[in-house]
Amino acid sequence: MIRDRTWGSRLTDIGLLVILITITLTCVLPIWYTLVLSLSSNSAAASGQVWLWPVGFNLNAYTQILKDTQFFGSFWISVQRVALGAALNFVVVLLMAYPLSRTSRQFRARGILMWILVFCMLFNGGLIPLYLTVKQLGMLNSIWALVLVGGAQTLVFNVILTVNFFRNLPKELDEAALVDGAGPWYSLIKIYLPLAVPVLATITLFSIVYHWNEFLYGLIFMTREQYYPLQTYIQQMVVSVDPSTMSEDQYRRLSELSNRTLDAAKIFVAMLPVMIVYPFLQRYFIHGITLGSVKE
Amino acid sequence: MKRKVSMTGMVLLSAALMLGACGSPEKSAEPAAGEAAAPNSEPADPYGRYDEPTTISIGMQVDPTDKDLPAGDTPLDNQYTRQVKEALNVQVEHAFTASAANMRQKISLAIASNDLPDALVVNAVELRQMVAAGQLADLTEVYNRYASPEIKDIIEKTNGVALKSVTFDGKMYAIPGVQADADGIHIMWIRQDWLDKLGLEPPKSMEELETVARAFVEKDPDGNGSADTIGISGPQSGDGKMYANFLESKNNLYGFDPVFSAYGSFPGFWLDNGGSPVYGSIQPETKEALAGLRDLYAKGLIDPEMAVRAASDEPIINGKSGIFFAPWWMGYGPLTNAVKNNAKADWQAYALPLNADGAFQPHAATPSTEFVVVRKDYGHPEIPMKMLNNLFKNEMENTFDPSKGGPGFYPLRVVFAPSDEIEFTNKAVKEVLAGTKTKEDFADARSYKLLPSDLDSIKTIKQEPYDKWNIETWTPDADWGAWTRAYSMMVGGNPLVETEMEKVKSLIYEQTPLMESRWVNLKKMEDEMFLKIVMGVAPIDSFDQFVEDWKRQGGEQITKEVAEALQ
Repeated sequence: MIRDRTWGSRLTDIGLLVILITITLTCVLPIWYTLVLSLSSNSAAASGQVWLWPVGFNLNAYTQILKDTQFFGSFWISVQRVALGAALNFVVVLLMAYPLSRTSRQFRARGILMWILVFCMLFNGGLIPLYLTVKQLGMLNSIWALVLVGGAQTLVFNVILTVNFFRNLPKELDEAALVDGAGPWYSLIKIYLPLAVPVLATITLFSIVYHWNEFLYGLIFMTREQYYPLQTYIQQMVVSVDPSTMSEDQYRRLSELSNRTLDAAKIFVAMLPVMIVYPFLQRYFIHGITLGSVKE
Repeated sequence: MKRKVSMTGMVLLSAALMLGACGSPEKSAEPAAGEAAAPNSEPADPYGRYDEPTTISIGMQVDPTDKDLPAGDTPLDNQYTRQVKEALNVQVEHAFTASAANMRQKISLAIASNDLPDALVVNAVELRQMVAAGQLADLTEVYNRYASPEIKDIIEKTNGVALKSVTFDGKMYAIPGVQADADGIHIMWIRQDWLDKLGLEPPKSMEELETVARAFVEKDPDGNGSADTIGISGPQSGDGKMYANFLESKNNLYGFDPVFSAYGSFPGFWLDNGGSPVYGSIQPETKEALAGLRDLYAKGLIDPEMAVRAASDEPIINGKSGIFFAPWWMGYGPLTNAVKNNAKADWQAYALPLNADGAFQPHAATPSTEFVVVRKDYGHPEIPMKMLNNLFKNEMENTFDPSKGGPGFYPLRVVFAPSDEIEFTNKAVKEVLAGTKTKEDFADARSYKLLPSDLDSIKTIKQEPYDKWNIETWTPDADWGAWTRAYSMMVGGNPLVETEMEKVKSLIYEQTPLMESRWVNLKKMEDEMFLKIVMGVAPIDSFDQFVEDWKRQGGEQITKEVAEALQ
């Protein structure tokens, strides 16, 4: 590779590097800081002395996590939720997006259905009606409250994304399949599904990240801690409590329980699964799109 | 309104009928006949056991990191719930549980969706919402008939404040908890070792406060060679407040409450001005106090990062701050970590600075912030009262072993602390240390529940001389848990015991109806304006404009409403 050696282009290079490094740091530093905090001593963490390197290095926080059955219980609930939620999202999005990507002539109700979808994306009944609905359906304290309610919230966006992807695929493919005698199911599974891998990987990743990170529904639909997903479990630990209505033995609890290093360790462990899954799905983003299928 | 009252009456009547019809649990204690008729004011057995097993569903605060319970016990099955089952034949069920941080959200959801457990511990705002929504049972009769004499005694010793906070249209809709007065008195915590090093005295007046803060900032009290110390800590960003107010009247950490009262100013409180109520924040004294704070801030003597700092306890823990204002219990606050970090950090507390007349005149808090409420249609509205009676009785008799799960696991627990718990314990510890009394002399002071354990542990962590309280005379490493409580109780409690103080109470500690729609905006305007004035963003005379705006935007009507509420 031959480089243009003018000063202007060097300056541009340096400028770009600085900007990119800054952006990288804003992403990496919070994660690094959380890790450093989790490895420091608690009093150093509380006094704000910890910055880029652990102060009073120890692994106490991690040994404490290993003894915490609630942490692993919640971790397992989150894993189940992600597996169910992402699988359900995949199937439902695919089955909804394909018919909706047909023209109005092929599928008459398309226009109305799309409008309903967009309407639901923009307006909703609010939290209390949602709670009452879930309660009446008998889903309180059930993992399905998390999977279905959370899934429904992200479904519309994912469907619209996928519909648009399908519509951008060359019409000729569909026509060719039709001529060769493929029905709608055959062409969905043998033609559209393989071509849609990039978008399906994207929405699956969205769904995984959403289900893993979402904490509010866990808080609302679960009436016992033992049913909390991991992020709800962590949220209740790191949110600060207003002391103005507390009594003395509540402060005592609080002072015994306040443990920034342990919180940091839990946050760090909770980050790991998504950090591990990400690179595996990321390769599909680039892949697939480049596959040439038609010459125009 | 009238209709609601008669509805409540009908529901009560039917509840009473149901009670009479099904099993009449009080049979042994009183004649069953006539119970469903006119209100019964005869005292009933506060500890009466039910013949039939009875259940009550509650919402409960459970802390997820709490690992106190022995193996096999759960928040639903532990020494407390078993004792309740044993003593009252009442089975407790959880409608929901949540951590301290999320309890408010869970309760709001329950109120909004009218999906309530049988009984619940709520705060003042929630209580008012539930009364307005007609969701609560009238507990007047329950309280009169079932409350144990000890609990009645504590509630009535608050001069009617506790009862007033739960009475709406002449009816009691909740059982108020009562907490120690001390939480509402904000005092000055100061680095005694810095004062000694610089040859200074604790600042008694605002002028001396300025001198000391300047020395802390400029004379390098921590001796590290750089001018990196803070004179006076300020409120943190987000939830930090410059002063406690009538709705959140206690436990304001790192605010300026004593500074305001040194100017005779009580912002956020409703004060008595010759028989009519006035709002403290719009008084001329508040303008003076703000000018004083503005001056200190401009000179760099108040933490320059005040109100933007995420955690105000950090500079206190890492030895960069010299003065902060907070209640007595700071051992539970930042001081444990501060002393762990630097064993010589000698934080002492004083009831200072004084006002122009040389008096310490703090504002006083409401004794009641927690309330036990009962759902309107619940068949046994007296069960929560009986559970509280039972709790108080057994805490006095030391039935429970706190090492097998803290008292927070008792269902529907609210605190009934004698108002002078801190002061009493402080004096008792001093007398035992001086040898003039022994633990046995306090055997009958049973309502001071933690006193025996305080007296047992004090000599392991406090060394001679017993009349000095500097950090060198303590040995916290021997037992950090006991030290935290004892240091708070003694060092934080000393100013409360030793100072004559005339406490300024707010005329009311609850919202009036109009405040529900207006107060959030008025308070936001006040908070922003005062912060701007102190930090020098707005001129001091914008205070006058603020007073005008406050009155015009509903403050005047609210003041009238407060006056009516006090009639």
